[in-house]
Amino acid sequence: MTRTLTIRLFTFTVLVMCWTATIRAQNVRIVSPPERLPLPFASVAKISPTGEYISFSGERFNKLFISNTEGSSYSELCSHAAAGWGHTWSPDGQFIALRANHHEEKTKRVAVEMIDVANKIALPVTDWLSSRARLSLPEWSATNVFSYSTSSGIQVRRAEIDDSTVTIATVEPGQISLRLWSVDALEVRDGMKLQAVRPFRQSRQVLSSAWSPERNISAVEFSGRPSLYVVSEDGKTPHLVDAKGEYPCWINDRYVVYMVTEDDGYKILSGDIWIADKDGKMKKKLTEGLNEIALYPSASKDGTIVFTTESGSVYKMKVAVE
Amino acid sequence: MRFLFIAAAVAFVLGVFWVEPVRSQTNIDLADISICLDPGHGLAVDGSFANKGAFGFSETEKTLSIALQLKSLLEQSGVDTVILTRTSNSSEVSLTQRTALANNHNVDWFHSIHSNAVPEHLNPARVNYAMVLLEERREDSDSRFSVHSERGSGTGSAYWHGSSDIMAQLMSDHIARTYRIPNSGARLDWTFYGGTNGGFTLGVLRSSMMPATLSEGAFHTNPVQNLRDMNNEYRRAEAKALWMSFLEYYGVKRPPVRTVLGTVINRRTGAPMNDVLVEADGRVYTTNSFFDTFNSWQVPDSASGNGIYYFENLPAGNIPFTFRAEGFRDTTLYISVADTFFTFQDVALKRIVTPGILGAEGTPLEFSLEQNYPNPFNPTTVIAFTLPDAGRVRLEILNLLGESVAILLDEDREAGTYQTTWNGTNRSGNIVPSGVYFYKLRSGTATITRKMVFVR
Repeated sequence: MTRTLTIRLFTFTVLVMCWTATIRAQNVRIVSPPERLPLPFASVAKISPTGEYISFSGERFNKLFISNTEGSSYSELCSHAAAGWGHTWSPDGQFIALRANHHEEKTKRVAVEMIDVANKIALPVTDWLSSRARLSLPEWSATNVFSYSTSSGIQVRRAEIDDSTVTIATVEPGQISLRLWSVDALEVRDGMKLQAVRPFRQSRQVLSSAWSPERNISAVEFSGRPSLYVVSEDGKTPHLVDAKGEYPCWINDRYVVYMVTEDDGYKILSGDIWIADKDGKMKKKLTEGLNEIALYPSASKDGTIVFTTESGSVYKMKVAVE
Repeated sequence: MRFLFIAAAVAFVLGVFWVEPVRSQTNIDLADISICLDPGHGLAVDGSFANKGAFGFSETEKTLSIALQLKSLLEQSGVDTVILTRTSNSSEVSLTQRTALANNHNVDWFHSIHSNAVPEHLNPARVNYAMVLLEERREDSDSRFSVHSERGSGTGSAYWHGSSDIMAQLMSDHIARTYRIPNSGARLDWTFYGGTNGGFTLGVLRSSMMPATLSEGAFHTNPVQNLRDMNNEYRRAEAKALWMSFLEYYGVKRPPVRTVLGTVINRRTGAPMNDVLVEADGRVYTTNSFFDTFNSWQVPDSASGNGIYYFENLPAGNIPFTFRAEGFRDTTLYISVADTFFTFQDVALKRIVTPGILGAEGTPLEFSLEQNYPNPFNPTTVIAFTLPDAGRVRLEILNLLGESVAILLDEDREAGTYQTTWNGTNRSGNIVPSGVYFYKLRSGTATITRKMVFVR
């Protein structure tokens, strides 16, 4: 009698869990499936946060182009090497900050540039520096403020528009509060006060990160597996979203989009784009049935997701989330 | 006077044009260079170390050990930044994460360290060579776009022409020489993995935005190699081979190598010997033992060890090395330590036979010259001899006509057992033709001559 009751209780619990998962998955609906855009080979593509443009780079992340969201017309924004890797849109979609390379014989020069998207003008932020300057990728921290680090510390700049003229102003460290993911820690700068917080007891390399639109949580990809966590504003409470998740971005403050790849140590065997809620309880593969290796997703507030494939195609799809 | 002035001006101009290219090749400051080292593989799906070798020592363990040692060597040479894609054997890092790390740090070079394998049906015991892969440029199959597509077939040339192809050749040459295995050279990945009918570009090479290479050091499926891989200093030798490649590529003069390594074997059985004490330069190196090393993997008790010994940072010159093992004659060799590359010296120890025949333990009773081994040989052979008394000794190589080809020894020696190596070169340092040669040992009035075969 007791045994029968236990079995019934167990079955009921399993059914409830399945039902809950289904309901959660139903909160994400694919409005339009992945559609290949008529763009040239792209190693990475990003939709602007407002959903107006797509930026993409050519082979080996060289150069940077901008296109309309239909992919029917595009033009070059930056001709430098490696300009596409880690290029980042300002939250209002007016600017792109990037790091670019200029190759010399066996060495290179590196610089940070900011692009005024409306006027398609690249503005130099730094000189062309040697590798030993250790110039990091730039990162937006507020609407018009971005930062990057060098061997001499963090540099903060503000993009200012005056009568349609864009200038770049230096922001002193004491003038602004920043939360930046560095090599393995969240650096919290409050005026002149600096605190580095490691989410884990042991050091883990941060490979990519994205703050939620309200900037109160961050999706962070750590090197190795498990990889993708959502971390609180103070950097102290990491919560696992997907053990194999990489390259996260946010649709809204609840849903994070990312990629999952499988490989055999020599070649990538599969790559898919996934969406999960910030708790990691609901996960859904968005590229089911797409016969390509999908990589490097980006998302805009309206639910548009843009990603590339290993063969260099750019895809666009749309999801609705509740 | 005017002529002198013109001559000086011409000499100055020529000097400028002559010196400048040399300077441009050798003026790379390693403080401007950053390198990402990628120890290949990690955890397998079942949570064990990936790609186990013939006796269980895995590619995961080998590649991390080499990467850590290479990082240290490069940093000591002044390279600004050396990062590793993984720093432990218990992590599982995807290919996309490995290149993301290199791209984030914007390094100047990405090098992935691997070890090769063949399946059982291809007789792994007979397969062992060095090879370095690099990315092949592929055809632009979509002419509509001005951007190169990298979608088509292989073109037969390197994507990073003039850099990764040069580095790959350097690495392959150095690894092959270090491990003394055949050299398969620099290989373009798309063609190597099937070419136009289905090749692929290696994941870590394709996504990295800097010149990149992937070395397949040797075959861990080869039983002899896998036993050698278990020796930390043997892995260090591969790290040093890669380190030399980087320094050569960037045109940086490297310090003298002055490293001696080799294998100690049982002369009668040919088996590598465990627990041999090797003394040189006031230091002692003990070859691996079963309980300290081989017992940690799946090496059966009956299997032989690796017999590897290794000394680095040796002084220049002719250094005495003494080899001691229980039940074997002490053997002392004078090894000439090279500055330019590793100095290899294999040693065969002779068992102590019945005292009734030999007299005092380890003291040879008679003047003898052993048959060289291996024979026939290429590229080197070892010649052993014993001297009952101290005196002048001369060991000479002769051709079939009785003409002197090379003199390996002509010096005073104490009584004892000795070995020396002939590398098939004549007095001018040129490789001799294939054929039969004689080696003649003379001490005092006694002479012994034996025959050997050199095969090119």
